Amino acid sequence: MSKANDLIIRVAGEGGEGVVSTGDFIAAACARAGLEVYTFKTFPAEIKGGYCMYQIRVSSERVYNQGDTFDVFCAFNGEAYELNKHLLTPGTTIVYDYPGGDFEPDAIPEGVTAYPVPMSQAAKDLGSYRSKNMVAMGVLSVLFNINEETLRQVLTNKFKKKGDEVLDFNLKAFEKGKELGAGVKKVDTWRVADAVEPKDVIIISGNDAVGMGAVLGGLEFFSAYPITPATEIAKFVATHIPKFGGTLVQAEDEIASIGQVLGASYAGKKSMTSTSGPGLALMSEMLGMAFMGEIPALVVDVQRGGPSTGLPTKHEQSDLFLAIHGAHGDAPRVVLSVEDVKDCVDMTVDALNFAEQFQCPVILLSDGSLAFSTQTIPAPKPENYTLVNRKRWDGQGKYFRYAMTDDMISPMADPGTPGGEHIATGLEHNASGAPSWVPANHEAMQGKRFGKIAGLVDTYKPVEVDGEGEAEIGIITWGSTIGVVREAVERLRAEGIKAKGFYPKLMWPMPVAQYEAFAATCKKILVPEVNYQGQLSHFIRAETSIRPIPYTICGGLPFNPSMIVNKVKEVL
Amino acid sequence: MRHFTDKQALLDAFASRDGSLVDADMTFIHVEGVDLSGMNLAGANLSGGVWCDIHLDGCDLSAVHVVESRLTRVDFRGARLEGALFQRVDMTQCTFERVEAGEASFFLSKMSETPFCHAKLIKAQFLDTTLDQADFTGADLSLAQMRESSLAGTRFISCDLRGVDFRKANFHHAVYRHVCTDNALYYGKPPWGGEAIPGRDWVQELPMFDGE
Amino acid sequence: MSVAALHKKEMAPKDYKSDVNVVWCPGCGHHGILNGIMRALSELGVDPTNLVNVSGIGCSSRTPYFMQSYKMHTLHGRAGPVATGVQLARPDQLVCITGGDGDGFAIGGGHMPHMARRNVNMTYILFDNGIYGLTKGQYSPTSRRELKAYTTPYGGPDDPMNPLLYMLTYGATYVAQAFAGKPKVCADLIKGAMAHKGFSYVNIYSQCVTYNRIDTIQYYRDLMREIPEGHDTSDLGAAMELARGDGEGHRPMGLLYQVERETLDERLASIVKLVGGHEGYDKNKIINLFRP
Repeated sequence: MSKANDLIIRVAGEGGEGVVSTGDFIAAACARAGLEVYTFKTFPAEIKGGYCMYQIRVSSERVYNQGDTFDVFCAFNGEAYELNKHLLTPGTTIVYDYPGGDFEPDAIPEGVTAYPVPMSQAAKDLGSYRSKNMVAMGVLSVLFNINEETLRQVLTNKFKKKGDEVLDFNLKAFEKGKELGAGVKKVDTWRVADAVEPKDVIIISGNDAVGMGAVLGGLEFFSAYPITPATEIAKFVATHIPKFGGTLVQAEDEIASIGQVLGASYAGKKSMTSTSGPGLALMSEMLGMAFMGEIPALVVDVQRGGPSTGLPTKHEQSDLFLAIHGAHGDAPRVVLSVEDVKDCVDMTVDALNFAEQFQCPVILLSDGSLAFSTQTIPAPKPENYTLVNRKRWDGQGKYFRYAMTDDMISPMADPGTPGGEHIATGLEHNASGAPSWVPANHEAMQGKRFGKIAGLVDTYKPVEVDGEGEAEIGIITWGSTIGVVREAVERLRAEGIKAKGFYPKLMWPMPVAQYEAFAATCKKILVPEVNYQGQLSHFIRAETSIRPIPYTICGGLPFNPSMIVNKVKEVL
Repeated sequence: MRHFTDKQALLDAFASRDGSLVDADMTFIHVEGVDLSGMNLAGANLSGGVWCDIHLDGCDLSAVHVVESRLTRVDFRGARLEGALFQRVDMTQCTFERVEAGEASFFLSKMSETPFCHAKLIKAQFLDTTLDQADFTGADLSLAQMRESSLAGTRFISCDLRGVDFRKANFHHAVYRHVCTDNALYYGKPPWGGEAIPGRDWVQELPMFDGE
Repeated sequence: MSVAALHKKEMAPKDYKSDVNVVWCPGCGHHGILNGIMRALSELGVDPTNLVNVSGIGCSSRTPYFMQSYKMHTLHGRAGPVATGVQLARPDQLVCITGGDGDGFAIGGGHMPHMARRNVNMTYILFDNGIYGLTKGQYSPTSRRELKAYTTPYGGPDDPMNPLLYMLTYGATYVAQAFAGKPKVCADLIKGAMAHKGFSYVNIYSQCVTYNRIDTIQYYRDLMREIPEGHDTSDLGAAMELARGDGEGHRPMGLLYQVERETLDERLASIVKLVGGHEGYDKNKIINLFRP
């Protein structure tokens, strides 16, 4: 259950009924009221219609994850009710569309508060069934203390672009909802925290945040190919990159996307693409080429349920093997993994920087739940980001593209630079780029390409350790599961269990020493992750002396904090 | 195959408006006993033909393209042959003395007993070509390639052989006198005396393609 | 590429050669095509500093090594997308692809239509020898059925494709064909392709003396027919008629088709213009869109 000032509202219904916009409006209103917001949604796989769920967690303190389950549930239709009724546990509240909706609920379980409100009927009476979500927002705002002023501002900002008539109509529906809400006798105690001093925040989804990171990171070229759940990144970049004179093109497939990225990068532009597992699999050969040819490139992989077409709209963290080892031959690269929406901005900048700095492919891992999760994050300050540009040839002397240097990074030359003519090649080559299969050369070149990124384990904030001293349980996890573990660790400590967390963001090269140092302070190591094989556990076993306890789920949904707490109690 | 024995007939058929044979497409023809000396045939195509008793001395034959032709007693003396391509050409009693043939290519051709005296053959490529008894006296062959060519009795006298690639050629059967052979590429002990260069690592020095 | 805008340099064809020795078999048609490319560059006065040569994998894909320029030797079939990226990133450079029939039309076949329909401003020179040479003689999408190749000891089971019809259908704005035995024709068509603004495709038949013993110089000589004078190169229908070949199975040699159309980089530039894009755009304006 949630903390005192912490509320989780779930809205569910048919896609196209305004579920998502209801959630977005409430989230924005809460953020405007100075509160912290973390949203989570599942989309219908159907093109139109289908079940759709939007959950908003709002608190006056920072929230790290979507929470265990909802406190308040608003059912737009019977299907939503059916799919969620097992979560109606004592203490929860349900608001549902009745009478006039498409269902009548079973007997309400003991301890559950139920508020039937005729939302559809009210909308129809107003003249448009489509305004049902406006009515629902009015109801929820009154019942659960959602700041009416900020909600009204958000609605006004949204609808005034569409003309006064549309705005007036929607506000009227909102008022109608408030009226209905006021008529309900409130018996539960759930309420959104009161407004506080507004902070300098933005509210943004993981995918949009990656796009924003790309803009802040000085991206110049993006080649896109549509794939769920990553396409919004391309949409963001397509909308904004031309403002900087940059380019986005949609390629004919993912192989072409990464091909165009490598071409543009060779030609001197900061370049990237975004995709999901199936696309990353297709790009593997080209990533090997980028490694061999030492071409900067960023690929953002928004992971989804696999294998194969798998569960395209569902959450999973199962591309770690592919990201780290996917390509033939020995072809390592830098692999980063984000925890939350803030990381989506900041680490996209880092990833672009690393690609430029190390002249190699960088893979940034996000995931399906983060992709659509909107969160309040501090508004980024463009001047706070340091941008790295690739080392470029100074034009002195004879140019050797793959010259061995102290830091193993060789200066590049853009086309059009006199004297810098050179070849970027997938064939093994010597310092000039000419093909060479001399054994000693291949070994030296592999050493150069591996060596140039090895130091990253010491220079980048590779991990974060949560807690000090000795612990009974150390939890190592990655990606968006980190946010869940953060809360679980807090709860465990509150219960008197000595728990620590270890949160790597740099997945490869692997900061082995720091894993070891952490494990040395913990009696047991638990590694929760959302995939079948325990992919991070696998790397920990392979690269360190740690023998972790894997805790894997792969049902298409993320962990919640209770699951981790319970598992820890089980293994201790 | 059209047959020409007369210069004017040849010019009528192939010369451009200004009377030159630059870039002329003289393919698949039989030419006999014609004197074209001093003419400009740069870029001309002489492929698939039979050419007997022809004077091309002093001609500009740069970038000329000769593939699968038969040349008998063709006189190239003093001609410019830069960038020319001779591929699968049978030559009998042709002469290449004093030609300027930098970067010319002679591939898979039969050129036994051909004189190249005092020719400029810098970076010329003689690949898989028969040069038995050919005479390179006074020729400049620096950086030329003779890979896989047959050099039985071939004469290299007062010859610049710096950087010449003799790999897989039977260069031990050639005759060398007063030659400069710095940086020449070959396997084993050199036939012009002296020792094999110690510690020489071919694959380090040369760009070599593996299969792809 | 409209080469008029490029920095001009006076260079002889041989000056475009690199230090890497040509490794094709003696007797291969590619030698003549390479000469043609260098001659075209020389005549256009292209500065190798402004030239980016991109290739995939195959005998002909080694061409960039043998020339001075910026160059990329990429993966089997992927020269097209990579070159597209280069061209979009640097529309001020001359971008050229050299590759073979297997590289272009088998493994890379999925990319071909899109370079053409997008009218990417670059030149594709396809060395068509109807065989996979580098992997030692397998049949390719342009092999004749009569060819008994490494993997088709009894002859090929499938019919060859028609590269010219393919490129015309997908919207290439310059389509030409030649044969390696005619270096002057090759040079002229390549020169035209490089000077053309838009996606230009030059198909050049090239004999493989090592693995394709039926497509000989003699065969190509008899196969090719010069495009008749008076052919309207802006007439797509007429170009397609020519590309089909005449009733006796001859193939056209010369320029089939050339039209002007906006290129991909021009269209992308017009988007930037439309939004008033410039380097110093205030990023805070985008951040502010996400304030609640």
